[in-house]
Amino acid sequence: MSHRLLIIEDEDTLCESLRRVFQREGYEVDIAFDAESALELVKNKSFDLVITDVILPGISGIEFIKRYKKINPGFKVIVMTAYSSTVTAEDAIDAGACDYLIKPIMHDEIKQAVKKALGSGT
Amino acid sequence: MFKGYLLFIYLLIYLSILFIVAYYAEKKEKTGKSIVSNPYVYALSLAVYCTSWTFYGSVGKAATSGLSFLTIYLGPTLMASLWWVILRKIIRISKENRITTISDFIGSRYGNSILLASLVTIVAVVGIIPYLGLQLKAIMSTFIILAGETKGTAGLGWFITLILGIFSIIFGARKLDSSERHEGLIFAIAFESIVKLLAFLTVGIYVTYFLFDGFSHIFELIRDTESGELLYLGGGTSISYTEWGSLLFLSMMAIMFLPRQFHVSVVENSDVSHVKKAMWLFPLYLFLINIFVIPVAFGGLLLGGQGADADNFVLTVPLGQQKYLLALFVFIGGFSAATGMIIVESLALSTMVMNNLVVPAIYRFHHMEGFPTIILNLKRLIIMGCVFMGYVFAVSVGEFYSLVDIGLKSFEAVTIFAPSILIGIFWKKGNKKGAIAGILAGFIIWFYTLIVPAFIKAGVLHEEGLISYILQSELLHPQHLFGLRGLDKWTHSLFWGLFFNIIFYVGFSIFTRQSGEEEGQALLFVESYAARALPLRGSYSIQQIEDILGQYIGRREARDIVDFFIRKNNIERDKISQNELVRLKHEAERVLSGALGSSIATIIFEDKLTLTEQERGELSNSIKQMTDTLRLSRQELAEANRNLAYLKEFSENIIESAPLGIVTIDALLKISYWNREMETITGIRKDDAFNRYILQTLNWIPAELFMENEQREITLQTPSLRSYKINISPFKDPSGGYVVIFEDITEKKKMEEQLLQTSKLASIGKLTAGISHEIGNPLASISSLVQELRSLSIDTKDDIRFTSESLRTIDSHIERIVKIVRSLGDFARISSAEKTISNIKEILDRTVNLVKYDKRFKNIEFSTDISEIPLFRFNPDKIQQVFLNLILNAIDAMPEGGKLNVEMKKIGNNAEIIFSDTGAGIDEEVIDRIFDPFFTSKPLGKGTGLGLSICYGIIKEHNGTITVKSRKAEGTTFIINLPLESDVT
Repeated sequence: MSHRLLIIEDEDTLCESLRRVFQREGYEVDIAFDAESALELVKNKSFDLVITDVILPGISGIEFIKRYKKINPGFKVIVMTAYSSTVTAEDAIDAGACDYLIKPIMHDEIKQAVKKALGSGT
Repeated sequence: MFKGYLLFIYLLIYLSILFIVAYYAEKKEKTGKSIVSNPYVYALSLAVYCTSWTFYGSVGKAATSGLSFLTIYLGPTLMASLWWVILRKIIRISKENRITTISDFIGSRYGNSILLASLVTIVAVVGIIPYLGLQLKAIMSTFIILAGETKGTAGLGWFITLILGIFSIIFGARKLDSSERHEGLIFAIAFESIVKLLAFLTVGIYVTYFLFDGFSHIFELIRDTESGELLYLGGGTSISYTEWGSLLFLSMMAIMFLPRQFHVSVVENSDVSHVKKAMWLFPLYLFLINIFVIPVAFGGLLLGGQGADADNFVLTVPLGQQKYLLALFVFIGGFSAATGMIIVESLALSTMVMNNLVVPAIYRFHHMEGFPTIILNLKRLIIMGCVFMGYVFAVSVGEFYSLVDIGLKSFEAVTIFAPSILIGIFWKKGNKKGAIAGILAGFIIWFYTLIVPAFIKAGVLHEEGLISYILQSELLHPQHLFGLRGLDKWTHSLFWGLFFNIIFYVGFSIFTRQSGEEEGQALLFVESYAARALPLRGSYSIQQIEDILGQYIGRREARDIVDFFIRKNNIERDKISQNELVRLKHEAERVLSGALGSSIATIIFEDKLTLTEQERGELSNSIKQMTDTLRLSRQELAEANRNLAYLKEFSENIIESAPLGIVTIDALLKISYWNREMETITGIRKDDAFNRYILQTLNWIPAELFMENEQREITLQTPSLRSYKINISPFKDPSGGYVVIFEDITEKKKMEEQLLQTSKLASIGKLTAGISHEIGNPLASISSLVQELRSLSIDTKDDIRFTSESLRTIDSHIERIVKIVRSLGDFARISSAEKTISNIKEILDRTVNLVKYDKRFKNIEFSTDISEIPLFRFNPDKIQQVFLNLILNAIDAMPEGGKLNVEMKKIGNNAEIIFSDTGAGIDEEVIDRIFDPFFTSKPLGKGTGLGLSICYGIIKEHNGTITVKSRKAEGTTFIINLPLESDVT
């Protein structure tokens, strides 16, 4: 059974490009352009991994992680950020993210990170 | 009974004894062994107070009104207890000021006023003459009683009056006496006091113990008759308590201010310390002379006498018992009482009349031959006049009145002087106008309330016309003045008299000013105990003093006085010291005062005064003081000059070394001052600049700067591209001209630009994170697409379509990045200092475009409210910096999001731009400081503190204003006001 991914990214070009990349890899991919709609999705559907941007319109990626944690205690999240600030990355790890990536995203990197995240645990 | 002529001879004998007594006293005085200068004689002389009124009248009063007669003696007894304070002070003042009468005293107190003294004299004469007449009347009536016949009494009256007049002259004005004191007279008076006391005691003892069985016997007898009520006071008796009070007060004043009392107690006092003993001796005398009044009065009544004749009981009771010798003794006693009063009173009155009325009038004739003789004879004439006026009164009006009645009128009259004297010696502010007004008011009331009714009663005034009108008037009735009823006539008159007297005296004194002389005299009187140097005046030679004195009192007398003085002080005539000369002059002044009154005596000596040595000393002292002061002023002036020179040098130094070009020009615009910095600025040397026209010297200065007459400031660039701020202020001086100050602001301008640049970079720094994110996002998209494309082999149609779509997407993302980079570049480039005609709304848009990259701006509800504003001249770069700073501050103030509204509108000729946020607000304590450089409310490292101060500078540079309104937790509003300049530099 293929893994299910959720990608949250407000830049639609990037979001759709990443969907295509992971679909080609054989994942089942859902996308959301903001954290609110993503939270709706995760309530009805379980995902093996969530990849989220930090800076989003409305609720931020970090806040999303905190709420997501309550819905799905066995959650896994990878954080993407264009903000080349380690502070943001640390925030994400503190909130419970298992990995973080810095934009621009290198496809090889993100594939590795997804595999690694899915491989560990469970 | 006695034959008239026999009685007359007895009287002459008595008078001769009196004269011998006086002569003896004077002789003793000349040998230096005065028998007068002791408290006993002094106290006895005070008993001149007891006149025939006491001698006969008291008994009369007691027989009709009981104890009320006592008030007349209780008053003086009360007053005697105050003598140590009042009388002593009056004596001291009088001695120091050579005062000889009560009018002198008052006149002298109020600035040596001759007018006031004359007024007092007139009041005294009018008030006292009837009293004097009363004594004559007493002598005449008792004479008639004793002689038992009334035939030829008119002639008798005349004769007795003449004799008494002559006697008064002998005692008082034998010569223009060299002394104020008359020891002979005083001794005679004391002698008379003894006689009258003995006479009264004798008749008293006779009546009490020989006719009756002592006091209690008489009282018991009288209680059973209809006169029994006389033993009681107040209540239903014939005399009220108010009347008692008034009589007490009147007699208290009389003992002080009756001219004869003043004469004996003050003028004739040889030693102030005598007052101490007299304070109890005199009341003792009064007690003794009154002790038998009641028994005699009651005895007279019990023996069948009528109340109406009671005045003569003293005489008629012994006569009724055929005790003729006793009656004669009583008659002599009564005669003593009357003559003592007549002599002293006429002397006192005549001195007053002489000194205050006559001498001032004839003083100017003092160079006339025989002036001293004229004065002496005048004085004699006046004495005689006084006595005869009394006689006229006695025979015309006096008939209708009792002794007491007339005496009390005199008491009321002298009470008029009380406020001016008693208040005047303790209150410095009391002045001449007050005294005149008070005395006049008192006199008018006295005359109206006491004399007018007396005249009406005596028939001198008839009840018709005006008189009947005032008698029917509620307000003007003389005995119920202003509707005041229920008081006896003495209280009534006393009340109104004192009321107006004191009101006027005090009122005028408070509301009018004292002259210098008045002030001096007031001080002299009120502070008579204060020690002070004698005014040593008198550089006269002995001869001069003698000559002056001789002019007034006669050459021989003058010589006698001077010789006496020299002998007494053991001085040799040609070796007299300055000090002794001064004393001699004082003696001469004293003598003259005795003869002419102190005011005139002072005038005489002042008139002839040249500079005395003392005064020369004073003068030279004061000149020395003046030169000292001058020298001091010169020193001060020199010092002021030095200070001025120093100040000039100081300011010239400042001007010369100032980093400002300073030029002064005159009204013709020629240079008159050119400082060192001007040489540096222009390269023109001081000497070359002087007197040249500034517009030629500095041809880059616009001429219109000097057209206006007020301070102006402009900024100019010279042809050498340096910037100057030029301040032109016109001189306030009417001759015109300007001060022109040049400040080189080239460097300052550069620095300002650098500062602006720094501030811009700081804002960009703040935006970096946001911008990098803004650029990062499209970059991430592009990167992702490019990676996808690279992984494609582009075989399928789908691949080709995806490729071309991707490229288009990439292109649009690149365009986004380009836009951001451009706007950043626009902002960051070196701004120009130029103001250009620009659109302010565009500047706001540009700023917002930049700010929106700040991620925090995404949480802020930004709105604008912009109305049409015409293009105007401003510096777009600088204004953008202001907007940027304000918006960034607003964002800082709203970390959790909020609203920011920008409003732009045209108000008049101004653009108003308002930034309102809903942020944290500014503390009230710091709101005044937010435009200060380096002030920041942000944590260390978060702000430079320059942002708002730069905004302030920029807006000010545009001649605009920026203000702030803020409320903690509600938000902050910045209001910018910019003038819509279109073409002004």
